[in-house]
Amino acid sequence: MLLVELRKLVGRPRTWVTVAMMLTLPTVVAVLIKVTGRAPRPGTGPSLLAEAFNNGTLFPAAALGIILPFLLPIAVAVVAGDAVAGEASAGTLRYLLVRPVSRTRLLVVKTVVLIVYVLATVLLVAAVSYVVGVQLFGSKPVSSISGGAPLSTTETALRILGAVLYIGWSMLALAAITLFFSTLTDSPLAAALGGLGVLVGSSTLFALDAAASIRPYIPTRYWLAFLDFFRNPILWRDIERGVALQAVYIAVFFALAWANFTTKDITS
Amino acid sequence: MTPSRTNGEAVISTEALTKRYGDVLAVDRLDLVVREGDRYGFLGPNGSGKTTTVRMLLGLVFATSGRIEVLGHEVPRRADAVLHEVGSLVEGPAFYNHISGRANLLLFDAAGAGGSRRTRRSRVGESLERVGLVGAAHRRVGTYSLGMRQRLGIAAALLRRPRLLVLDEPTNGLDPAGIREVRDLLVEINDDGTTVFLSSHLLAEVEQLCTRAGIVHAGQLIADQSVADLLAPTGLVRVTSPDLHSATRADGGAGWLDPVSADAHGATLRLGSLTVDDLVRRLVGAGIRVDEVVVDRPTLEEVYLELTGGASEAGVDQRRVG
Repeated sequence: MLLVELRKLVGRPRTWVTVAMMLTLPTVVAVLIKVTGRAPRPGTGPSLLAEAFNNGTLFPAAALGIILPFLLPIAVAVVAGDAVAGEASAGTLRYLLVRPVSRTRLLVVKTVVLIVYVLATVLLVAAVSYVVGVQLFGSKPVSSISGGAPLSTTETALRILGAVLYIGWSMLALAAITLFFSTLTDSPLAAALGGLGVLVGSSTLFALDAAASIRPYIPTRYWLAFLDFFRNPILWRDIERGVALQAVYIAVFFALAWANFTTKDITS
Repeated sequence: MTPSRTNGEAVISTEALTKRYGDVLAVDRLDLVVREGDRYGFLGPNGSGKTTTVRMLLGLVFATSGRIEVLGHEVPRRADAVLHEVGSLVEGPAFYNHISGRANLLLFDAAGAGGSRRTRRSRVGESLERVGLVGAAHRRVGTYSLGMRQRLGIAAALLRRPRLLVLDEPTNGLDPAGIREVRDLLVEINDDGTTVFLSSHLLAEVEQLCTRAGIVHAGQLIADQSVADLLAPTGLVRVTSPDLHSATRADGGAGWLDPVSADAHGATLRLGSLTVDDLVRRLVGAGIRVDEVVVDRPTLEEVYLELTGGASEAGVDQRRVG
C-alpha cells in the first residue's frame, strides 16, 4: 500500500515540477548574486544570503530560507490537499476503500507519503544548493552565523540535518491542517486553497503588531527558527517552542482528519 | 434463463436497512436477500435509493439504522474481512488517467492486502483478457472510450476472483455488441459460482440477464421475486382468428369463452381454469379458425411501471396488438 502510494507520487508529473521549481529558485538567486556581485548586505535580504556569499557551504541554509516562506508550503498544501480529495474527485477513493483499504490505514499511508515528499524535497534542495554554493562561492571551514570556532564537517552535516528535520516537522503541521480540509471536501483545489489560506492568514497576522498577543500561537510563528541551528551555540529556545507548537497542530488536525474521515459517508 | 440449480445461503442480507440524509429518507427499512448463485437485478428509478444501498453494502456509506450482512459478516463493522471477496463497480469506473490500463490494474491490485505479489502480473493479464482489453492495455486510460473504461472497471472487479460481484450499471456506455459481451461474461462468471448483484435501470438488461429481481421504489423494496415469476403468464391469451370478433357466444352459453376484448383480427381471452391446450381444442370444436395463439406475459417494463406507479393504467386492455 505504501509502495503503491509512493509510486503514485513519483509517477505524477506535478511532483517533479514542484521539486524542479524548488531547486531552480535558489540556484537562480545564487547565479544572479554571483553574476552581479551584489550580495545583500549582512542582516538584510533573505536570511543567510550575505553569509553564503562569502562561504558556499552555508548556501544550503540560505536556500532553505528562500523556499521556506512560500514555495515549499504551497507545494505541501497542494500535495496534502490532493491526498484524499484528489482520490475522491477522480472517483478512485471508493475503489481504494472497497479494495479494501481501511480508512485509518489510507490516512496514515497518505501522511507517510507526504512526509517522504517533504523530507526528500528539502534534502534534495540542501544537497543541490550545497553543490551550487561551493561551486559559485567557494568553501571555507564553516563558521556559524554568530561567529565562534569553525564547525567540523560532521557538525555542519548534523546541523543541516537538524534544520531539515525541523522544517519537515513544521511542514507536517501545515500538511495536517490541509489533510483535514482534504477529508472535508471532494475538491483537491478547495482543500489546497484552505491550506494556503491558513498560510497566508498566518503570515498576515504575524506581520501585524495588533496581533502580538496571539502571535506565539500562529502556525508559521517559529518556522524560520531553523536558522538557529546555524548559530553557535545552537539557540534552542525558539526551536523548542516551534517543535511544541507544531506538535499541537499536528496532533489536533490529524485527530480531526481521522475522526472526520473514518465516520464520513463516501458519496464521491 | 431459469436456473436449474437450487440457490444456497444468503450472500447479502439486510434487515430494516435505513439511510437518512438530513430530511431525505434515501433508503427506508429495506429487507434484501440475495442468495449464493443468484444473478440478482436491483431495479429502480433514479433517486430510489439504489446507489445508496449499494454503497452501504460496500461500507462506503454508513446506515442510519438496520443491519447488513455480506458473505456472513456484518458490514461495515467487519467490512475488511469481506470486501476482498467482493468485486465491485460503483457509479462508473474510475482510474488514474495518466497511466496505462494495465498499470492501473497493477496499482489497484497492489493497494489491498492479500493476493500474492508473484502472481499479480498474471492475474492482471487474465482479467484484461477476460474483458477483451489486452490490445489496449498499454495505452493511457485517458485515451480510452467510455466502453473501454467500463470494461477495465469490470476487469478490476474480477481481479481477485470474487465470490460476489456488486455492479452498478455495468453496461453503461457500451454499444450493443459490448452489452452482449458483458452479459455473456457475467453469465459465464455466474456459472463458475460467483453471485452477481447488479443494479440497473435498464429493464431489458435485467430481463435478459437476471434470475431474480428486486424492485426498489422510494427507498423500499416493492417486489422481490424470480424473474420467471415476475414475468409469469397473466392468464390471458391472444387468439388471432377471423371468426372471433362476431362469435363471442361460440361456446353456446357454456361460459368457457371469456373475452376481455375483441377486434377485427381476433380477441384476448381469459383462460380461467382451462389450459391453453383445452382452449384451442374447444375453439376448433366450436368451428372457430385459429391462426395464432399467444400466451400473454407482461414485460418487465409493464411489471415495473405498474409496481412503481409509473403508469396511470397498465394492463392488457391498453395494449395494441400488432
